[in-house]
Amino acid sequence: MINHKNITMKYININRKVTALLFILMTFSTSLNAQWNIPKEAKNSIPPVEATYKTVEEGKVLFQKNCISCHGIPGKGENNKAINATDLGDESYQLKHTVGEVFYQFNTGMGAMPSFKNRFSEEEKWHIAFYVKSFDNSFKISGERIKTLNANLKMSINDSDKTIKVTATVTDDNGSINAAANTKINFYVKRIFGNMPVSEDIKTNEDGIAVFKFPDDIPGDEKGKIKIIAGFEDTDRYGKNTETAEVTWGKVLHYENPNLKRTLWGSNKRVPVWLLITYLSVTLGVWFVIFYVAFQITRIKNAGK
Amino acid sequence: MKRKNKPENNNKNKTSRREFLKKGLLAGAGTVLGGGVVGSFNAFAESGDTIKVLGPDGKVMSVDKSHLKEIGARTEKQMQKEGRDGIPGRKWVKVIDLSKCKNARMCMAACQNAHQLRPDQHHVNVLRMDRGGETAPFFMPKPCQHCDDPPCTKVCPVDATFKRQDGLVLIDNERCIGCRFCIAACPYSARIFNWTEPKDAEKYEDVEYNVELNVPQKKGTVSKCLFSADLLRIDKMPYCVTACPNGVYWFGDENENAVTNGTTKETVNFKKLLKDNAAYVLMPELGTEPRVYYLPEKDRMFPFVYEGSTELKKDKH
Repeated sequence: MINHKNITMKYININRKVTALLFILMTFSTSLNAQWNIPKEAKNSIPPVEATYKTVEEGKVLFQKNCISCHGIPGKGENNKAINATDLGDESYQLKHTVGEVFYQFNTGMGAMPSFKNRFSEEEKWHIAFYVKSFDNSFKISGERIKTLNANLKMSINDSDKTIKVTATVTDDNGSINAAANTKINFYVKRIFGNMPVSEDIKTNEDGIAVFKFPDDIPGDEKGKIKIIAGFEDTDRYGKNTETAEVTWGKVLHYENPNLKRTLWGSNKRVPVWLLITYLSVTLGVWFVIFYVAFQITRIKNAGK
Repeated sequence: MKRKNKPENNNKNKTSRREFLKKGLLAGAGTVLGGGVVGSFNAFAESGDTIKVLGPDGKVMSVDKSHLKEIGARTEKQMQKEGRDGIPGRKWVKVIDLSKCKNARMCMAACQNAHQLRPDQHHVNVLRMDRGGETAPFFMPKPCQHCDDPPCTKVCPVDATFKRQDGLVLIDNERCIGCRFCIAACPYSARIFNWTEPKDAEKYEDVEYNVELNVPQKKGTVSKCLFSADLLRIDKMPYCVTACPNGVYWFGDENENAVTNGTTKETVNFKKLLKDNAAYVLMPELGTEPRVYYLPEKDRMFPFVYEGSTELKKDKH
């Protein structure tokens, strides 16, 4: 562990109330008054990569991880109004900005919006710009639109070697069932606030079968119970169908209520024994001395009579 | 308290009616605390008297008295007991990623809103920091560290502040005598004192005290960050964690070895996150064993800008 004696907790010596107020004013004034200053070249800049449905999808994934916290899903009005973030699906925004301008804004940042210049590769940044512009009907996207298939997952649990076999199938329009081959399957375990991914790069084979070996170090509850969720990585193509299984493969939680131990920080009832003995013996000792002295004084007094 | 009042009983004599109204008030308080629901609107005839209650969204509403009925509102005794025991099997942890903090102060606003605090009272505070020498300044949110060996609970003479089995350190304002020993004992300056009447005191007059929310706040008592124990009870992340727009906070259960980001809702392996990012705790040399971990301010998402300056103005002593 690093020694952090050097950390100094210094408050700047101004009334904190004033500081807070000043700060709030400042954030608002910077985010509200600042204006985008987009150079003309940006407007007509030509993307080095092609906008296809595939690249748009890739942009969507990045957008959901990095942008929706402020902007929300475009066109849904989920943008954070407090920091003046734009709903990027809004017509007024889309009509005003070309794909090059979207790229520029994303690259440079302004006010409350950070610059993502060094966070992503050039290509990734263009993919995000494509995704943003995909909400503009006049924006041309080449290639074939991805159609969500009617896909299903089936889990079979093997308790002896802690593996889960998943069979992925696709039902086509004619009702015939085919294997979903060579597609990535993600496995998650359920945790209190969300699902934690536990698998890396597991793909189905030609028969649509993927096998997942459950790791040994995942904690379960007091009985080792754990919920495993399987789903397709490519949710746009295969849909968001997931399959859940409950197994007892988790590390058994040995839970001990720390409050039942005798500790210094505990309440009176849980005081450490050594402290109790020391305290009581000191107190009793002092009282004993007082009484002993009083007794001796009365003896002296009586002897003098 | 789960006994139901039938309408004919209410009109028979005054005493039972008064009792009923009392319960109505209780139900109003219950809705504020999220524990109760005002229901069965057609069960009783209207009495003509209206009563103002706080709705779950914080709006004051006017409801006919006869419409109020208590459904499972937790009594203060229950809340006290549950609040002291904590949630079995859990060990709450918070991870704060300093590389993502840009001093947006949404966490502070959400916290102050929830815990009836004025803008100058902080359960969580965003500080301007540097590590001395030529190091670059950074922002650091600082909540209560919920130490596993808390110095504050050791000094409390009346057992008002205590450590729960799920790792939280809470304070009971009903027991607190305002001696402020705990404030002096805390090495992280995480505690505040209500020197004056708390914000909106009259609005919270009839609200039942919830030890997991420290609401209503009481003048002359100490208050502190509670990791939003009231939300954890209903499997929700703390107010500050979900309010952050920049993904600074991770929150979760150490026993599950998982933490979830309040902004992106991404869930990751807790120990791996700490290991991969060289996490540390504040003042480990004190042996307080904090439950709040910090990830260093490397690869920052935002430049340090405070009051238009990228430098940290040092105090002149």
